[in-house]
Amino acid sequence: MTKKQNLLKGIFQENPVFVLILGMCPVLGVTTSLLNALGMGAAFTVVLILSNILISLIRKLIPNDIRIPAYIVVIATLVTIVDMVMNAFTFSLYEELGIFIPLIVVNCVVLGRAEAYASKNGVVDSAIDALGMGLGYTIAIAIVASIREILGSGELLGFNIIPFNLFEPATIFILAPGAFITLGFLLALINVIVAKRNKKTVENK
Amino acid sequence: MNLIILGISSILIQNVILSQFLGICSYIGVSKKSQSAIGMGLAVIFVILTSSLLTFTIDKFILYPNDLIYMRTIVYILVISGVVQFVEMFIKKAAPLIYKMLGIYLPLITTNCAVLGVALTVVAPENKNWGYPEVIVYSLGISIGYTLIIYVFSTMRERLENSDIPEAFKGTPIAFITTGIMAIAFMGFAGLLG
Amino acid sequence: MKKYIQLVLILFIISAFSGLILGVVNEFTAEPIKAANAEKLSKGIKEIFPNIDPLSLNDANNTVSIVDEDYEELKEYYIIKDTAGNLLGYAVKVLAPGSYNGKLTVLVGINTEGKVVGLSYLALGETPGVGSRVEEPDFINYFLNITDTSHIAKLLIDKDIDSVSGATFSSTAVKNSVQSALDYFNANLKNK
Repeated sequence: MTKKQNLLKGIFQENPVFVLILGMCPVLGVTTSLLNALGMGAAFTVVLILSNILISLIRKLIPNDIRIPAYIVVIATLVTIVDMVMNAFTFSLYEELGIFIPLIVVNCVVLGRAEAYASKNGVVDSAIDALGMGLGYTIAIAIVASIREILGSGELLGFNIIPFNLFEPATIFILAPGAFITLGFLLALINVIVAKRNKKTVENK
Repeated sequence: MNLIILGISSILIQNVILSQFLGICSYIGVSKKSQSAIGMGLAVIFVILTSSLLTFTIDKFILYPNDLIYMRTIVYILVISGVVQFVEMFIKKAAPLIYKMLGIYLPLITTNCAVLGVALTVVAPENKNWGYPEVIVYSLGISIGYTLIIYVFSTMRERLENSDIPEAFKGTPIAFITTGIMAIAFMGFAGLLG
Repeated sequence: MKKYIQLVLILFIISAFSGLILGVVNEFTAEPIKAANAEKLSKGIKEIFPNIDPLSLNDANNTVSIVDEDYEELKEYYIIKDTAGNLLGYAVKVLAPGSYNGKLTVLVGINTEGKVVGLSYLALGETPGVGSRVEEPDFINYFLNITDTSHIAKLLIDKDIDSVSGATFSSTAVKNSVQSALDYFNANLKNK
């Protein structure tokens, strides 16, 4: 696998949210606005890259029996650092994201990449893998958040974007049920796209 | 009286899945059969109650007095994985039958964000005046709410299996949409305490 | 057995190392976090009392914690003075009981005559766009200059009823917060 393929797989074929359906809690919880989603995505990507690099570095020093607890400690340390830095320097974003920042510790994507990739591969590859996965995750939650913010409050990044008040925003989309429903329809859309693509490749053969 | 309100609110109004969005992965993963949903639910009730009591105690007597609250996440996640490990060993020896039922779910619970979520919520600044009674009621309420939803949803999902759904919506998409509709219904409970 | 000790030792070393790093990071971030929290509080208070002496908030004597079983939801109050040292009133910090996500923290400004002079939210854990309607001036204006919230109760329900959104919920929570701040003022601060 080339480096480019390694990077792109996290965004498309193995997108953690849309394809693997992992780490769903923040996908639903912080997507009330695009700004929150981007903030969450950035925090998540930083933790993922650092954890993949660190774990790839120490992978040969950790005995196999305690590798999972050791990874968890490493990830928890990184998350706490990100948590403190955000609390200190991006205060209002930090308050919006709330509990979902410390909960990156138990995000299956981070531990999953540590176990499935970083523990078996070199530092550079692990970093690229993490960057791809982080971008894939950020793009996914940004899409969910954009849909919810536009439909739910008629705004994007806080700007009113509905021309001539064409429709009244449907508040339900920024409430809890809207999160589930938006995600359900998006996943169905992805299914349609994947099915079409598969059909095409079969026909080409 | 306040404890009763807290209990009702943590089961129905602040429902861990439908309004706090915690524990979604296991919710989608384990709800295919009602029997496994109940198994997971029981395991979660036990782990949430035990681990949040432990972390609350550690916070109260060690971390908070020594200005070490920045160690919370690390200490909590270690406690939780310890509790899960212990529960697994204990049940295996003491009740092999239950172990057979719950065994495969136990390792999954460590990364269930509902567990760490509850542990962090009970020490959050806005709950500063909580003592053991509140922690017990809240942990039980949240985990019972989890079990309730995952069980109700699993029965729906068993029915969805046999219904005629458009190809693209089969599996996870329809699961999320169904959950959304359930969440709308649950918003009605918010009026209970108004 | 020896193997186990070794494993525990390795885990312990990793954890100790983590603790060390976090301790260092904490040294750097603790001050900015404290400053950000203080900034938020003083911003909230200035919204209510524009004439406050900004330095008076730094004086620890002007912050009084409230420990009273009858007023569980009240956290602390701040004594508000202008630059000449005259008492302008009090800002009471209330953690609204029973708000939708249990995170609505509001400052209730009360002047020396016992009238509400303003509200300001420190934490609004409500759904954006819905519960946060309580932030709008229209809503806050209901409370200005009142000494008792009973007569506005009906007005709020007529105006804000919205059974899906839970907006009634937040407005009731705010109303209750204002009422308990006023009750506390009348019982403890009025003739001080």
